[in-house]
Amino acid sequence: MQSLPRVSIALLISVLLFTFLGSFVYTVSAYDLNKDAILLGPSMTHFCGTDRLGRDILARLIEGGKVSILIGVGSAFIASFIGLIYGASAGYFRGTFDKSFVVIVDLFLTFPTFFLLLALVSYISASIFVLIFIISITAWMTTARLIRSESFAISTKPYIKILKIAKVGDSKIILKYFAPLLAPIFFVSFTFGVGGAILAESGLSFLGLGITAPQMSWGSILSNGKEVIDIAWWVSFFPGLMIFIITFSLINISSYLQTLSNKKQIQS
Amino acid sequence: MKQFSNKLLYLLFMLVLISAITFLAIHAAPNSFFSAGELNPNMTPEALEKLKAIYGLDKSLLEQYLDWIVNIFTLNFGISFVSGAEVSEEILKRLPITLTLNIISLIVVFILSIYLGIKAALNYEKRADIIIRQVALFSFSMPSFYLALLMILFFSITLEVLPIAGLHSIEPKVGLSYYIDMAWHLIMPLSVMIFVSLGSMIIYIRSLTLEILKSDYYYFARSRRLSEKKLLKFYIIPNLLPPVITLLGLSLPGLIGGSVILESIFGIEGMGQLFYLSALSRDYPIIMGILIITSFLTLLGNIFADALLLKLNPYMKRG
Repeated sequence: MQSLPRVSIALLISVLLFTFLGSFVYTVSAYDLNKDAILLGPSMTHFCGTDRLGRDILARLIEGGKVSILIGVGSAFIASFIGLIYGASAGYFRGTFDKSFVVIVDLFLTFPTFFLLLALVSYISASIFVLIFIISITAWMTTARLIRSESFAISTKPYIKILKIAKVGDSKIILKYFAPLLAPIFFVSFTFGVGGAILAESGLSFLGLGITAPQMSWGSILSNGKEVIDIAWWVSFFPGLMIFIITFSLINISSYLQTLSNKKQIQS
Repeated sequence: MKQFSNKLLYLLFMLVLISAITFLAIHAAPNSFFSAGELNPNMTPEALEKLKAIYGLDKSLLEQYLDWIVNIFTLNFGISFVSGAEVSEEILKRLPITLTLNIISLIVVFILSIYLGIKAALNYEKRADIIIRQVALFSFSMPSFYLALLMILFFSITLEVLPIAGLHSIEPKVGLSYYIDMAWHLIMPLSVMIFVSLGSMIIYIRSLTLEILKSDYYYFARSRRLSEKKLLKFYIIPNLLPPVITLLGLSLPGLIGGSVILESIFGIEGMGQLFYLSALSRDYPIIMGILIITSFLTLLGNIFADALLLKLNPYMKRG
């Protein structure tokens, strides 16, 4: 069991190196059209083949990866941050604040998330920031729920009561004494969330609602390949593989972190 | 029973809130169907006014909303901007296939994940557990559209054994063979749906079972030397069911939402595809109709789950 996260971490680091440093090593342009190289299969000149406009897939994977990872990390960060603050406050203040929390979470959960995404994206044309915003407001509920139930347990502890009697400010208690204890859950759901957000973005891009040209993400490259899947498998295969590798390693790491935090709980 | 009726009221309140929010969001959106340039540019403003009056768009927002709510109770969701057909008709035409797919996959996922989840937990940190957990993580991180494309590539294009898309073969079939043909076409979409949603359920059930295994009552039952079968039947499964049923009730919207992608890949004319097409052409009556119906189905799933839980609760039988 110990070797698995190591494999995942190695995979994750190599994907990160590939997307952020790859363009220094592999200098082929991701945007140049080439009418002599349309839908060429993988070969020594084009390692992952070319697409319908003769663009090099490998170079496009490097460019597109930056967008995918940025959206993944950005929206997971915002989502788990909203979840942390909102969930911790609900557990701390209880009463009406907590009741309103439950209503709002239920509201978001009853909404079909993907429909909400689709509806929002069809109004606002997608840019990186819009996508980050949209994905994060549809993804914070699970973190918030987990953190709420945990912070309920913390708020009954004696030292929190003492802090309250000592008239320490609410925001200080939440940020200084609640947040550190909730950190393990935060990191677990953050790594998990990055994977989930990358999946959500690629799903939207697959439907043609994600990032617009000339920018690209793994999802949009894959989506461009779906019409030619029967004659050129490589256009969709490689970006999909990248999405799969990064989410798989992230989710593996997240599950490992979770077992670690569980073990700590059992020991204490 | 009072708890149940309270829950019912709460769900109704939810439904009203959701409808109000979607209504507002849609009407606050900057570009409407009429301003999107989808209509004839030679159209006079008077004609446009007339057209808007036909759809009731000239009234105030509150009036429109109240009209819409009143109409819903008579199952009148309005007319589609694009096709001109009744929204309820359009949706009803597509609801059965989406529901069938979702319910079948929900049942299969339920059975498989309970089996695999319990098996993994009973073999905690042993080989079976590690393998099942890896499969679960694999399924969780597999994008549904990617798996679908790979399956199409392998089974339809390379091996040519399964149909690539659609619901029926080109030559029409009648009677029993009609349904067999349809089942044949549904193999790939169903297996993708099942595999993709299996992972999170297995992980969830595994962690629930581990909690049960740690509990005092299970420890006591084991020290009484009850057989494995009895432990499973009277101690593990009854305690596992309530949270799992609640989760299944909640997971309905996600499944229908997820079928947007799968329906568009496999060319299945279901609710997901309809929603996708309407979102692209800003066909609000249909978008609203689908959102309300899926929310309603979710709430229905919730109520059903609650009723089932009451039924399963042994305390209720006594009282």
